[in-house]
Amino acid sequence: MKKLSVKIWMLLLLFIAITIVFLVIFTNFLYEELYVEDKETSMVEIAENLQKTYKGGAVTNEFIKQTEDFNRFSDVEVFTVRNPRELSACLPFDVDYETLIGHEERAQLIEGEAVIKRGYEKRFNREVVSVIYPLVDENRLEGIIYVYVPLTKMTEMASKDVIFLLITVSFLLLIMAWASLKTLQKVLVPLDKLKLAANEMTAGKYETRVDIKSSDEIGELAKTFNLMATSIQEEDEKKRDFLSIVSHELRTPISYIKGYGEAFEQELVPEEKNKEIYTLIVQEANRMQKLTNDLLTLARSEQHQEMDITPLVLSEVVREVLQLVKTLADKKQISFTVTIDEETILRADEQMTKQILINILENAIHYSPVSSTIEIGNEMTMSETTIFIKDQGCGIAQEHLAHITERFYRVNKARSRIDGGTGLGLSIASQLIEMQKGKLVFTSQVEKGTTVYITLPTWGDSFL
Amino acid sequence: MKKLYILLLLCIIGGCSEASFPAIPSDTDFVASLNTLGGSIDFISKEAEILETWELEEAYTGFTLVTDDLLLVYGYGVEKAALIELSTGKQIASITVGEGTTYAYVYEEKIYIANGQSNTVSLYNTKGKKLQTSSTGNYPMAMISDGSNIFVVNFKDEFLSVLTMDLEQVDEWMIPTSSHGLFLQDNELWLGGHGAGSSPNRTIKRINIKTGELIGEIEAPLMPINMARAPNRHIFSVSHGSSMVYEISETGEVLNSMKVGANPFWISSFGDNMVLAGYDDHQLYFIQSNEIIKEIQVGKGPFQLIVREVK
Repeated sequence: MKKLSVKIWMLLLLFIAITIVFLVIFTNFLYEELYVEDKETSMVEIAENLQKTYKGGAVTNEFIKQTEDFNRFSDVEVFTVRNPRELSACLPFDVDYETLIGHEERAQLIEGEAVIKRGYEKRFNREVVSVIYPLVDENRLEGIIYVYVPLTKMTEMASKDVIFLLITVSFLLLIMAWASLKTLQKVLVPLDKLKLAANEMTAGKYETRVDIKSSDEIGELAKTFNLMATSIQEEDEKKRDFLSIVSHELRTPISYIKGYGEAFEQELVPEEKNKEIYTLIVQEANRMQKLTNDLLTLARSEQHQEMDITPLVLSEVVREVLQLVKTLADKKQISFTVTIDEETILRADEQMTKQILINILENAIHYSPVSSTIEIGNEMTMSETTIFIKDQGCGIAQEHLAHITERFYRVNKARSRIDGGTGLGLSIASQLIEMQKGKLVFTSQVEKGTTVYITLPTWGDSFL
Repeated sequence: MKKLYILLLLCIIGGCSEASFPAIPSDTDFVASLNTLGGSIDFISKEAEILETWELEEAYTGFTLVTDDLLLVYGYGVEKAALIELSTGKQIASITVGEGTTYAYVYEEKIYIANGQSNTVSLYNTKGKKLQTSSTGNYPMAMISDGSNIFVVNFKDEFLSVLTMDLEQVDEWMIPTSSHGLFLQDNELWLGGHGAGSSPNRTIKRINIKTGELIGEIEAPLMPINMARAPNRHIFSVSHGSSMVYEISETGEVLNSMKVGANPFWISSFGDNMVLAGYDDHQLYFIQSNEIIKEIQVGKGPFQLIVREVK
């Protein structure tokens, strides 16, 4: 396969060559035309001047000599003919003789008109340009002044210039070829760079960037390529982080279980501690289960699992969810203040919505102090509703707010394990809200509490 | 239906009938010019007025009077020569002569027609019946007869053919090529011509009519080509190369010369006038005593003249 640059170059060369060849031919043609025309003009002038010296009557020897003299100083051939035979005077007779002029020309000349012609002349056995002026006395064609130049002579003269022209043109063609090649290279080199960079990327070197400064389409492409590379690199880093976190999160409970298991194996655990350690093992196993469940949920939501959108009575959903988190809340004597509009009907997937609310409420309960209150309510707008969940917890510092939906992001890294969360709750909630074309917003004040705003679409009038 | 038949009949008759021309009354004297470029014949009176003009449909290149009332027209590229009755203007017969007719000569109602393609001379009667044919040299053209022989100039050859009146070969005399213009003066045959090759002929050859021997030459430059006898028995010759007319005595001396017309090919005696046809300027010149007394514009390219004087 030929390279694109070669193809384009060949095409360019072809176009240039065609243009130049056409121009050369055209110029040559024009040049010859102009040259011949110019010659004709000077020939006409000569013939006219000679004609003026004719005083009528028979053409004299002096006149003939005069034209012959003229010949010596001129680069054209001039002669005067008075032989009636040459002048086609015997025309009605079938005379075996090639006359200098034909009968049509004779008729024209008798009328006093000049004859100018180009072409092959048998008399001179070559291509000539001839100008014929009549010498007319009354109605008699006494003679003619015949001026001619061989066309070959002219083309010969022109051909000298043609050689020069050809050399110039060849030179021009070479320069053009070189220039076009260089230009093409300049244009196409960035493409090559891009290709190399893409290859590097394929090989996994995501830090590769292309260095193209131009502001044309290729420059734009390079910029876009770099942006893409950055995105891929970031995604790659996230993936690594995620994996390391997941493995870390899993390793801790496993090492607990392994440790206790080995202790039991070597009978290092005193009898009275057995129960406590069993509880710990179950607790760690639960954590692992929860973590794997969450990871599964997250993976599913990322795979854009199918949703089952139905009308949902919000107050009903909230009630059911509160029932589920009741045990957790009760442990900390946390109470709920619910001001949900009874008529709000969501346009959402029931399981997803419940999952969202559970995750957020669990979070709220976790970070709320003992005996505090969590407010739950909603506000209607045109086609959606915003559910707010307000706690009186420790709050989240401003710099963390933007990151809390990231996987395994923890505001207080030291507390994570004691908190018992997987670090995926808000991430899952955020993903599920997004899937349902909703919005998730947090506002928070440190030491005062956090409010979570969940906006979801409502079922419109069509249902009612 | 009857009307249609009549119409059809008329059409057939009209279609079949030969072209007819304006009649020339039998008692009218005229000089007629055959204008080969324009394709017409002009009949002109002694007063130099055009009596009639015949527009020709064929490319006729020559004509001659067979009788006072019978005109023969022919053309080099025309297969049939036509015999036209002047008093009615009707074509009464046509002679299939084939292409190549160069010249026709009539002697006592015997029609001699030269053909430059078959290189023959044929004898016809006034009914158009071919009586005899004889082959000649290359391109027979000018002809004249003294009553016992007919002299045929072979235009593209170097000899003149002498034939009997019944077209039997008698003799061949050396002459230059491109000779043209024959005239009988006593026992001499006067012969003009264009000249061989590029050099134009300047003289009229005087040839012994019995032996073919060249007796002498009369200077009449350039290209003497036609001769006619004036009422005063002088011979007028026309040289088309220089548009000159020469008046020559019966003994062959040039008495007068004058420049008339443009490229004239023919001169004829008509009443007291010598009439000259200028081929290039399309005019007839009436000349008396070396002076042009009248000029008349005719059709394009007057090439040949015939004269009828009945009074």
